[in-house]
Amino acid sequence: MYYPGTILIWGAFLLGLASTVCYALAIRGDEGWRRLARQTYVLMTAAVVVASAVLMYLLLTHDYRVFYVTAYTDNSLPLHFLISAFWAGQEGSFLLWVFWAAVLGLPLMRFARDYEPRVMFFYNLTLLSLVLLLVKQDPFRFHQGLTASMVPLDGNGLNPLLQNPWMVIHPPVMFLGYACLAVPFAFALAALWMRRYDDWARVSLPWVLLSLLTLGAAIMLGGYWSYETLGWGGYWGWDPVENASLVPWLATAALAHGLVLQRGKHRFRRLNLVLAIFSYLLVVYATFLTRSGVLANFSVHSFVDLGITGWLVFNMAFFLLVSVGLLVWRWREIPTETGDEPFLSRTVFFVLGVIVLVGTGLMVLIGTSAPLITRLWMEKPAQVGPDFYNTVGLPLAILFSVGLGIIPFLGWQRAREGAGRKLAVVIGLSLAATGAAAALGAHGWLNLLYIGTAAFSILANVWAVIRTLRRGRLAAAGGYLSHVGVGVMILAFLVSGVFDRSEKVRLPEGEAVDVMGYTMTFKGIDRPTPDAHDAMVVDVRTPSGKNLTMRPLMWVNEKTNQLVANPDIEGFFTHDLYLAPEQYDPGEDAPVSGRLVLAKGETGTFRDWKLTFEGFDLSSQHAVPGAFTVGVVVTLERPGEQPVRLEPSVVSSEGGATPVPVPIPGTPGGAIRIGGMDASRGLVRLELLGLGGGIARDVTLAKGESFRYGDLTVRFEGFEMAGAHETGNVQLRVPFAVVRDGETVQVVASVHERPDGTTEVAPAAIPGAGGMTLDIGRIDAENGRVEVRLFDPRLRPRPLAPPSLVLDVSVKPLIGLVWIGTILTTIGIFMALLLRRRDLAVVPIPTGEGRGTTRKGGA
Amino acid sequence: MSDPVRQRRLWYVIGGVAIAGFVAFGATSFRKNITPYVGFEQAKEARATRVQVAGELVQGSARYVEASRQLEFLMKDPEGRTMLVRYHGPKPGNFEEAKQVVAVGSYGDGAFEAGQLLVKCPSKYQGLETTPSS
Repeated sequence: MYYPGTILIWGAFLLGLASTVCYALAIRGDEGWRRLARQTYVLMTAAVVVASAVLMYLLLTHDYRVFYVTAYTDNSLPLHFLISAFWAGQEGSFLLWVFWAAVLGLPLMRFARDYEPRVMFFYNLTLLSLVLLLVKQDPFRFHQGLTASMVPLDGNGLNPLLQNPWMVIHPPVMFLGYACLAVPFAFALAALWMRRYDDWARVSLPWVLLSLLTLGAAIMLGGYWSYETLGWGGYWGWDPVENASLVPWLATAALAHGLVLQRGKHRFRRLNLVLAIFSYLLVVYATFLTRSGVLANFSVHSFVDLGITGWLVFNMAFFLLVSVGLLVWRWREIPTETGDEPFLSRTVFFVLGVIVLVGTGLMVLIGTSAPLITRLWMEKPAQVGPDFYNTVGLPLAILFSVGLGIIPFLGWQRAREGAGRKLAVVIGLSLAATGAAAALGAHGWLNLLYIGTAAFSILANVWAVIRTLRRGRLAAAGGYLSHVGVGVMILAFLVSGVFDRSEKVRLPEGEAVDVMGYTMTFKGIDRPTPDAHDAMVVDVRTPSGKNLTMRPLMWVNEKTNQLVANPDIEGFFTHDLYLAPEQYDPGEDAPVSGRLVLAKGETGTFRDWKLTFEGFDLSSQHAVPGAFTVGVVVTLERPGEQPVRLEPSVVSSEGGATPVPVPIPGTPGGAIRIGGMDASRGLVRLELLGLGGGIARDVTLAKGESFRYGDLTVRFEGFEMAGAHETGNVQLRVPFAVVRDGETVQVVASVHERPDGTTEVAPAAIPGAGGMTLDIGRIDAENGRVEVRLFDPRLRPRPLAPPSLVLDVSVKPLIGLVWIGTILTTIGIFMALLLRRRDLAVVPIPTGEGRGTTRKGGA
Repeated sequence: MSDPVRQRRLWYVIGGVAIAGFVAFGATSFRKNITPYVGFEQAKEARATRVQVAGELVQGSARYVEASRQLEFLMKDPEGRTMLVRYHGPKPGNFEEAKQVVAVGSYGDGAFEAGQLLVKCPSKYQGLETTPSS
């Protein structure tokens, strides 16, 4: 293992352990231990930071001795992806989590004041549980049984789907969110221990809001990545890994509102304690679900049993026991009061909101755990499909929207003055909005109800934002603004999902096709730089007349040698146009119209044309970097036209020889190409493409048999084995005797088998026949029969199939609102966070309660 | 006490009933949406019931069928049996790379009609997916 890194991890573990013990001793009464506890904590944080820096260093310097570096990076990865490789794998992502948690503990230590020993005791325990994982699964381990000569020269590289800016920031933000949730957890347990049930609530709120902000942003970042990169057209699949991060977020949202409620009404203490504890426990459970492999068959995310299942179960059990134990122990002592607010008061609606959030969280949790639950009564574990979440979620969302909409009209004790009138206005506007939606094509009474209530919540909260801003209370508008964002998202979820239209279409190159009102033309493949991925260029004309070009990608992933596709999305105000490439068909090559074999200086005829092979041209042999180009100079003389010099070429590189045709001026689609070359004998075989012609005869002949075509008689002379071809494979010669006007000419076609098992046929050109060729089809060597096809350039050709692109086109109405809603919600939470930042410092416990500090006025 | 207490009790009852009703609704939906994992044979026998099947993608078998406007491909199970699958949603971007594919749907008319496709990518830790729902 890479000793510096591993030692640092072990050091962090031991220091964390020491800090926990010191805090425990400080709790027992001897305050002197606190200083040592703090010092060890700071040292532990330093160790974690340095260990992270070490891992980053190893990644950036491509130290492939370390297994982690080889597994997730390679030499070609640009800097920002090298950085993100830090959290590409399990150990690195845990280290990232530990990093955040350790760093967050520093201000926590400072602000917790008199709660510090107990809060830090529990906080340290949560940290240690993660560090222990790193001790067990060392990110710095070398490859098994590595010797100096076996260090890989290059790594396996980062999964190309992770090479995306959204995937670079998604995990750090996510783990910051997870790390933040340990703070209210620790505070709740400390509060239970100390029997002080109010202060913790006020102090935790900023941390809870921070967690809500980061976790929510991280979840939506993941969704956006999925939408933009994966090509299936969605952003949320109800996959267990996704749900596992959603459930703690819902619990956190409930907790945030519960804490505000407690702050205002000095009630609901038990509720908040339960919520704070379970928010963290759900994070632990989520970690268990996603990394233990129990859901291996039910999720597209991580499957490999990563070797830590036992530890994760122990972790869950430990924290569950400790927290629920403390809760149960103190339950009866916790002061509770019942209130007497009427139904239409903010208090009641806050509670309802908490209930709906918790209910939604439970629903998602149960659905996600279905494979575990169904194991109890079914022989085979089963999963619930997305329809479950959508079906059950719809009424919950409607209920939620109604609540969100009513809240701005309510005060803590009663409905606000004049609420009735304003409520009526907002309801009226919502009905108008629903009507508009119906006019635009929304249907289904449940859907319309959903849209109406979402509109209601948006409008009511917009009014509340304006009202609050008018009074100059900027930060207080944060809550309402985030509700606007949530309402917008709720609206967008339904509209973009239910009213999404999609169609698959084949676009032949150059042809305009109408798809759902859009006119699309596939223009071909474009590769702007050698490193870029092939873009399928599609010109689109929207129904409103706007012209734009979209470029979905289709390329081969070198690591897996498979085709990968990426969609292109064009966002309009009201909808997104989503193009996902499905298949590309290269179409048919222009058929060969005629073949001529010429020696240097020789002239051959093709219909009434004369072609002369002038010689080879090596002057631009290095025109293509890394390959060798040979040109063949041909003079084309056509009656009534100037002679033309054409130079088709062959580019030989490691991958093989590729002929490069040149178009024949004055003929649409006509080209001349080198079919074969024999430099030592000075011969070339020229192929004329796209000039018409077809197969005139397709006959199977045995030795001695012949067929007639025009003034020609073609007789099969029997197979001959030739000597080894230059590649070492046996070549089969297929000679024919062609008789015309009494003269017999022998022409030989040949077949040889390539090393990879395919057969290559070299057709025979009939001299003096204007480009006619004999091509070989099926060979029956045992019985000495051969299928021969006579190609006559004078025949009319079949119509060609051009290259075509199959696309999945979808129109997703209002999907932009999902992202706009997210941004609004994020800004709103951030504003609310700013409002509460002063709550970070705990009010010291007054003297007379045994803690030794004077009480400061005010809260 | 009188009215507030009685009113409160009334609200509790209403709330309780509502929650109970909702739980029943949720449980029904849960049962309805359970899709068990089955092998190819069972899937063929199960006919109209919605099930999940997992298998390896047979390389090179994926193609777009013009007539039905669907993606068609072959899945192979560990014993080597193959099954034809049809899917009309958008093809996931990394379909060809998939080590394993899970199709959710039901068997009918000579092929497995998949309403949902889950694609497992070969990477150890991260993965991705596709479903046609929101």
